[in-house]
Amino acid sequence: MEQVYRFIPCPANEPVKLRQWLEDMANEGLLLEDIKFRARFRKAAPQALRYHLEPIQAWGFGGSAAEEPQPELMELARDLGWQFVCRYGVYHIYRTADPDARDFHTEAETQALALDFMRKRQRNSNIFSGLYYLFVILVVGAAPVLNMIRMGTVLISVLALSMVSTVWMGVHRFLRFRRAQNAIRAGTYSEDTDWRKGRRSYLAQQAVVWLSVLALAAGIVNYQMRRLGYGKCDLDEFQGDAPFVTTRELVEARGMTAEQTFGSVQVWSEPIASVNYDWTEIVYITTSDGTERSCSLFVDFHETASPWVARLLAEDYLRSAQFSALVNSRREYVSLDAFDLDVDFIACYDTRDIGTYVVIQQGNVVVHACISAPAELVTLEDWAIAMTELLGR
Amino acid sequence: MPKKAMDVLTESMFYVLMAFLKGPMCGIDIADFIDRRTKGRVQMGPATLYTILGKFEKEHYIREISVEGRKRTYQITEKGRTAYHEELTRLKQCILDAEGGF
Repeated sequence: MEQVYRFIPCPANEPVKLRQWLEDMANEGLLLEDIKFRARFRKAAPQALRYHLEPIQAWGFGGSAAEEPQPELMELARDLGWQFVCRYGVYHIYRTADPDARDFHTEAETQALALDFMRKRQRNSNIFSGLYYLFVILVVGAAPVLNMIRMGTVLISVLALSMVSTVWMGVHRFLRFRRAQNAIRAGTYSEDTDWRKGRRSYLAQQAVVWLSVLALAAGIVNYQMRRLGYGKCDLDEFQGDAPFVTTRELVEARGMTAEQTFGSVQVWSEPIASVNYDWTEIVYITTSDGTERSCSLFVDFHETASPWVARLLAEDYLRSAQFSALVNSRREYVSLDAFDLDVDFIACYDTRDIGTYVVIQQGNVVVHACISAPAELVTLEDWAIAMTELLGR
Repeated sequence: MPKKAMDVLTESMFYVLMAFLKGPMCGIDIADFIDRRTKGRVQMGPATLYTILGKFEKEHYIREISVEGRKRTYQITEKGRTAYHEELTRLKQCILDAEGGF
């Protein structure tokens, strides 16, 4: 039995066009077998068939649609000449070869009532997705520039685009159900049956949706891999000069010797920040009396597109720390007096669990750093002063 | 103000409740009853019948009393009986009004 696959030429929320397409396919000798992302047809003799798409009334656990209608409904439909074919999204599809078979719906008011369930389901889905997106906006929007750099501009843009389009489509579907209900009740319901109209733009839309889904998935995987440390390289293997003050430079300038024990660096570029460093450096310091002490430095360095973006980013670091303290009970956000340095913006805060951080913005550069070392050897203020001098040069 | 669904029973709804006055029935029995009672005048589509059954069950006009294989049997409730009689009275009044002449 030869099977043929076809792309669906119109959206699922236009059942009249869909029905007409299936009937036209039957006229060409293609009988629908199943329909998911594509429609699967069986080749047969061309024939005039009637199709009907009935909105599903009951949903199973977790909101999944029942694959088949109630057995008794199927039996009654069969008695009247209709054969159940398959489910497609929110519809059960039936067909009949009998041109005089009784219509599935014989009363306008009840036909409108049959859309009630779908309209309410769409409304609830809109409310839930709205709340979910609100949560995402709160999380990502707490530090938009920082998240754009950390998660990637492409990922954030695709995420924003998919949120806007999902909300738009949800509202559009809900209004469509409501309009259809009102029109059916008023006896004025008529829908364009020409599925060829708008087919190209619908297929193009579908291609964009799938590409967005792929881009989103790729972006999330890339972001998670970056978070897990993939793409970071050991400091031993790092070729190049860091554009900020390192612990080694700081302690050696003070006459101590530093032996690097561990460190990693990740360097990446984004449209709004061409140079970004995520730097972790842990060194052993040998003091003049020969004792060994460890010292850690964590630096986020960004060279942004403009001083304005840099200021936003610097403020984002503070907001991100405040947000982190809100959602993490072991973390706090304590604002500290900033060091008195000649830069465009400077702020200090303590998280109580990791330590004291400084955020410096000078021109289009932002550095966010934390140092953990015995205070008598080197302090965050020492590092900030050295960093400010470097930025000034 | 437009009436809400179920404020007034549609013709199909009225006949479905009428069928239940005879006793518990499944969907196919109801379709048969309406066909016989109206001598084929009221033809009810399968989706119309099952949408009505779903709505009536939700509104507690009927309740499911047994499921045997493919067959679900429903029974009318007191609320359903009242709705039927209210509609019957309304329809009788319409006929009286019409027959009263002008």
